[in-house]
Amino acid sequence: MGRENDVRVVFDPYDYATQDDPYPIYRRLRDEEPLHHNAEHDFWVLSRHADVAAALRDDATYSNRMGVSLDASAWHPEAHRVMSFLALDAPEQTRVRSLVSRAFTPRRVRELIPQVQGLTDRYLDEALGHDGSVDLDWIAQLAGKLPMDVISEMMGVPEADRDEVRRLSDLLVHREDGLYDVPPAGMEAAMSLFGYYTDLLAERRRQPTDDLTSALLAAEVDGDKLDDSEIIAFLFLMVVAGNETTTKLLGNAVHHLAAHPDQLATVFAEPDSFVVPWIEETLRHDTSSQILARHLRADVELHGCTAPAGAKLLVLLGSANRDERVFSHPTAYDVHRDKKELGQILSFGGGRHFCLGANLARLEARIVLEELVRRVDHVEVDTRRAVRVHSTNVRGFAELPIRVRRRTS
Amino acid sequence: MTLRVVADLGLCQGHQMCTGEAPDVFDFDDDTDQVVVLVEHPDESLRPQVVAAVQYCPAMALAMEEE
Repeated sequence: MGRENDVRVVFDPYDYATQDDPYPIYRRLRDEEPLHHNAEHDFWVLSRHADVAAALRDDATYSNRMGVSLDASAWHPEAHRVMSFLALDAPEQTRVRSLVSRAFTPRRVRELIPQVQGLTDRYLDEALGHDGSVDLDWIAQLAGKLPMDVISEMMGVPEADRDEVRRLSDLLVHREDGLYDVPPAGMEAAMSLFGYYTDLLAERRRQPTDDLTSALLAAEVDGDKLDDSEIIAFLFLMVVAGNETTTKLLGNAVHHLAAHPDQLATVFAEPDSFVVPWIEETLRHDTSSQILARHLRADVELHGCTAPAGAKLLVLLGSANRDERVFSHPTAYDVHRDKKELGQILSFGGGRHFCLGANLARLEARIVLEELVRRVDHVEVDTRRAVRVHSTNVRGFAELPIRVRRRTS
Repeated sequence: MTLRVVADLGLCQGHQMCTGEAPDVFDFDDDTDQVVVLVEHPDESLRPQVVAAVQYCPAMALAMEEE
């Protein structure tokens, strides 16, 4: 292989080496080809913060109507059936999101605090035992379980069903090595989950409770309501957008802090001041959701190139968060980073499609990480045994073996 | 005709997009996690900022009225 700059940069999200560390490629894209075309897979790529932020706001040109996924089987005009308003443009997007927002309120999220704390306590009790040093898999024993349980709690899924619902949800987003699309097991799981949520909805229609599903059935704006297929689409959106991403956030947070022992000491000494910056810097430095796709409604001319109407274009959130034009020392992980800089992160998107669950994700991360700090005073990651997921757009760990030292009470 | 800004606190999700779009008009209350309208009747020169804030509010919690 020649020197880096002798060859044109190619961004291939299917390449395992790129998945292992996409950041050097992102940097070359920002510097050398800020509007990049991948000829093999025929998609276009925006990587600079300013371009990504502008694209996220402009849904007249950068349409969500085909969904936001790289997966070929999920890229079609019916994507909204399992991705709700994330796969719609205004005015359809506005209508559905307004109705959902009547049910998915900040108050409902805040009222989940005791349940999230309860789940955190239960999983940490099980994982940590009683004293001394403990080895555990942070993903298998906590981070991979809690986010889906919180979603089930919100929806009103009975406790007895939650393990099975979590198993189906995990299959839905699982991607097999070497396969670039939803595997058959994922399709089957989607059908089972669809059936489960259809039954849940029918039950709540007969007998409403105080859960989110009942609130979605009751939500009304000027006499307009969501129909059953729209409610089920939103329940699916919560699973595809809110489960794995939060798992990866919890994993990435522990992974990066443990790699910086001086910062770990700071956070563990002053959690009241540093747990939130720890979460925000993790969201910036290594965001779970790296890529969102858009469908171009018109030609886009930028930096001397033209991406044609009808093309698929990827916005790289993970690259925008590392843009030297916005962030100082962007490759450095730094829990002391300026709050104004952190306010610029695009991890949850922007504009009208800004992640509805951002507050929930941050709340879960804060409760879990604060409780971890309360119970242990040191964390080490066994990086040799850590296993990354192979995914085109989600960044994080499938297995993260850690050793923690319990605080002596 | 003057411009009036209305925030529906029943809808505000606290995403703080508006404080980026129109920092002179909107602020954020860290205690309630909600938007604060700093200037209910902003000057005409701030109209483009306010239009952007209303347009890009993900919670559709902001509105403009002409009085």
